[in-house]
Amino acid sequence: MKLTKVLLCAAVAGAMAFGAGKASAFPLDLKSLSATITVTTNYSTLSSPAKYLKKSVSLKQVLMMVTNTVRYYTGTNPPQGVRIAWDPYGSYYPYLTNSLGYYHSLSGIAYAYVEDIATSFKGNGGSGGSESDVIVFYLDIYGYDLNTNYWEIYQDYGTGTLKASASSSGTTTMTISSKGGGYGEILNSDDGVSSGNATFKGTGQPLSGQIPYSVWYWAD
Amino acid sequence: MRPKFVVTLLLLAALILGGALLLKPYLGSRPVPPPEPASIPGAPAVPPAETSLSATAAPPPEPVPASLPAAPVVATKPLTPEQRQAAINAEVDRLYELAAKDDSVSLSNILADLTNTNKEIREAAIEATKEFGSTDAIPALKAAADATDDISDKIAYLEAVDFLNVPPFDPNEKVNNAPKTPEQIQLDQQKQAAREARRLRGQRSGPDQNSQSPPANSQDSGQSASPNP
Repeated sequence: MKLTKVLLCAAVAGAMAFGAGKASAFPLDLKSLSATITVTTNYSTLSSPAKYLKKSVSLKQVLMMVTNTVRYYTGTNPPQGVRIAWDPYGSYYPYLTNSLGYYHSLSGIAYAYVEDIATSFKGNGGSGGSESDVIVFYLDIYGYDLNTNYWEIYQDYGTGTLKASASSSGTTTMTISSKGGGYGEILNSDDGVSSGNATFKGTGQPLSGQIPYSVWYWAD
Repeated sequence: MRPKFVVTLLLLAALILGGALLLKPYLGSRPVPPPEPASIPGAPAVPPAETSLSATAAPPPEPVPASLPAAPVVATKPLTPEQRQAAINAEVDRLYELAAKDDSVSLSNILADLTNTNKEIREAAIEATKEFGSTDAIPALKAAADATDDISDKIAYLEAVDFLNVPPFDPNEKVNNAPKTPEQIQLDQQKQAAREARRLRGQRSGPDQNSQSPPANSQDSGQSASPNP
């Protein structure tokens, strides 16, 4: 009986893991993010001398705010150990996921896309190859802290690189890194600036014609 | 004739043996590593991961005839570009995992890679240091900045120092401002509208905001509500 339960649990876990793999054609995980947000809290109460407020933000804190925002909107806590992922093949919305197949779209909380690409590559991915692009990238993450104060915690409309390398079996590792700035908001501040960098990275098996990414992107 | 042949053979063997002994210190040693920057305070004496990227598994020695002296075996095997990239990826992933922890050993391991000879690993180590978020890393970052001649590295180290000196986001932070007047509340609403307009301007014309559907195998298919509660 015990063995049956163990086998059943293993089968369920396996199915969930398989499901997680199917959640996206080519999921890239948000591996690192660091930024500073500099704001003027309230223009209507400014007096001289005035001094802006500045905070630093890392991936841990972004994840904390994003999970809190999901709870704020849905009333349900995302499970422990979730991470932010994004599929660069046609999706504008990152999502929360974990190793057990959890999925929650971050539509209305985060937005990401590659805007422009200048490419260089060799090979086509089917029998191995590599790609190294210069890109314009946009990533925006916003939501609420534990006290329901609004934060535009990260906005990066910047430049970066897209690098991909495919093995002879077609397994591809892709890294998208960007550095830039944009609008930033702390605790419902009046106006501000976000400045930082972020890196998405993942390994998977792109579909036929999806490598080089730049060629797929241009044709899409 | 025969004794002459034996003597010649012995002389030849002695010559080979002598040559092998002379060359042993050079052939048997590991490749000389590139000069490394000064040691970093707080960082453990862990060899840079790039060093470990060169193959360490020595092939088994080939059988040697008993009459000949054993030739020195070169202990390194060059990695293929794929293997090399895989090793770099593994080290970068390890750094990201360490960054999520909060113990001093993890920080020491991250700091050890700040001066790795591979740029990709160095960059990941800098990002991991920022993600770790400890001001204890500042001396190591400054030392690394002082020790390098690479301008882009120097900038990255010093930017990381600046980042760690900024107070971090606190999700429990309270707003200290006095309660807002009705006019200020109205301004906030206008600001909210302007924020949405700004976001829409910044976004590429893409699919409908809520058009993404979750996959069939998902546990939670909940979609987020409107960004404006």
